[in-house]
Amino acid sequence: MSAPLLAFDRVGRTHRRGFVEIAVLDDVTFEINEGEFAAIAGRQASGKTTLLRIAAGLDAPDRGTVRFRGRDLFPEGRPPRLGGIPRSIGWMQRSGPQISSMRMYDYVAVPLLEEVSYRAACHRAMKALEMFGADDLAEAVWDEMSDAQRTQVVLARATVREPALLLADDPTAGLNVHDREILLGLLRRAAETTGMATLIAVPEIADMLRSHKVMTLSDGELMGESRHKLGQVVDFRPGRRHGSA
Amino acid sequence: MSVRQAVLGLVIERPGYGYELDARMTERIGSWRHSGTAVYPALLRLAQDGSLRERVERSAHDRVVWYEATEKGRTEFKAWLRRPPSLLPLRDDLHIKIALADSDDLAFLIEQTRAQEQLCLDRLGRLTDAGIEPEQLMDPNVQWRSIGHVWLKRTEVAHLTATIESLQEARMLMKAHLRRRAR
Repeated sequence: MSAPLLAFDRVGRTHRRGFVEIAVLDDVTFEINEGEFAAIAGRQASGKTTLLRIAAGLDAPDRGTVRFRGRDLFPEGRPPRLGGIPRSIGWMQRSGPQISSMRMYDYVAVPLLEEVSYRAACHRAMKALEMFGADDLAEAVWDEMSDAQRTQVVLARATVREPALLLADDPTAGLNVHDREILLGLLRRAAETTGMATLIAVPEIADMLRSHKVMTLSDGELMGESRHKLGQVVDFRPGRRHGSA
Repeated sequence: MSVRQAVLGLVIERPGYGYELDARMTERIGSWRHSGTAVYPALLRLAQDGSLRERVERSAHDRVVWYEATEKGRTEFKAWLRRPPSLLPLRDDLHIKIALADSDDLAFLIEQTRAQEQLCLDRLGRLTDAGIEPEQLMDPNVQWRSIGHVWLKRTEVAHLTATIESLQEARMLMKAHLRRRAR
């Protein structure tokens, strides 16, 4: 297999509140390959949203490197590209259309309009909706859809530009068990059939079980396949983390 | 641990021989059994007690001992199945270590919680397809045993999940304690 699509190497991120430093991410290392559906489970304040934001280039790490397709997302001294998610990364945005009467095929097609004709954009929007089992929602409007349907549509929108990597923060939020299982199955199928890599962050461990790679995040520490080797004792220095500045 | 009853249950389900039963045990309830060689002694003891009957099958270059359940075996299994349960013990070395440790030991135990969480994740990774279609559970033609099999896997997932959460909590508490002491 070639180089990983996304690679975090010893990434750290610290928030400062007054004199106190809080390590949001500590020494986080993992890789995601093409077509891989990876999930990170972590409770509130475990650092998972920060991790996804860094993967999207929306927030910069304090330590370590993040490579996307082998290229450093944050070359030294460069500030984070706020609002500038790389084109080949899809970011699930939950907000819904600003115009309430907008039909969903239009809503999904919008990200494509600066690149292709309206006709072509609608065609690809339909394909994206189909991918997430939502082709029957093409004519629907946001206000009359359920949470599960909205999630399907925003995932279609995030992937309509056929990104190499899809990032979704808590895609199963507000869904019942049945809908969650279906949605996770759709995400897995999308990764396997299109070769798009997917990284989701979920609050429940049970929600990551449809993925190819399972990881947990707790107190900024990532555990999972590519983390510690078993039985290896890692140097632990007390006070190394939340030390006062 | 009732390896005896598990083996008996599998033979009642359908007769088998040692190797096949061992494989079936791993497939059906692999997570639950730790010792890889417990099936054979259990078969011998069950046969000695008259709960199983041996049937030797000889071919030109092989000799296979088949086991099938006797009436006594079926009665024993039913009685075990219907016996009321007692509260499950929480029996893990690491729990006791964490509860009884000194502050000096915490750095090692933090590392052990990491290793343990990693083991849980490895196991979860192998169980990732344990999800069952909800319609399937409602299907009247599905045998109870296949539902029970899936239920067991889901239970294991729930157990691993709870373990991971308690390990994370222990680690956070231990790290916070060490930080406070370092100041």
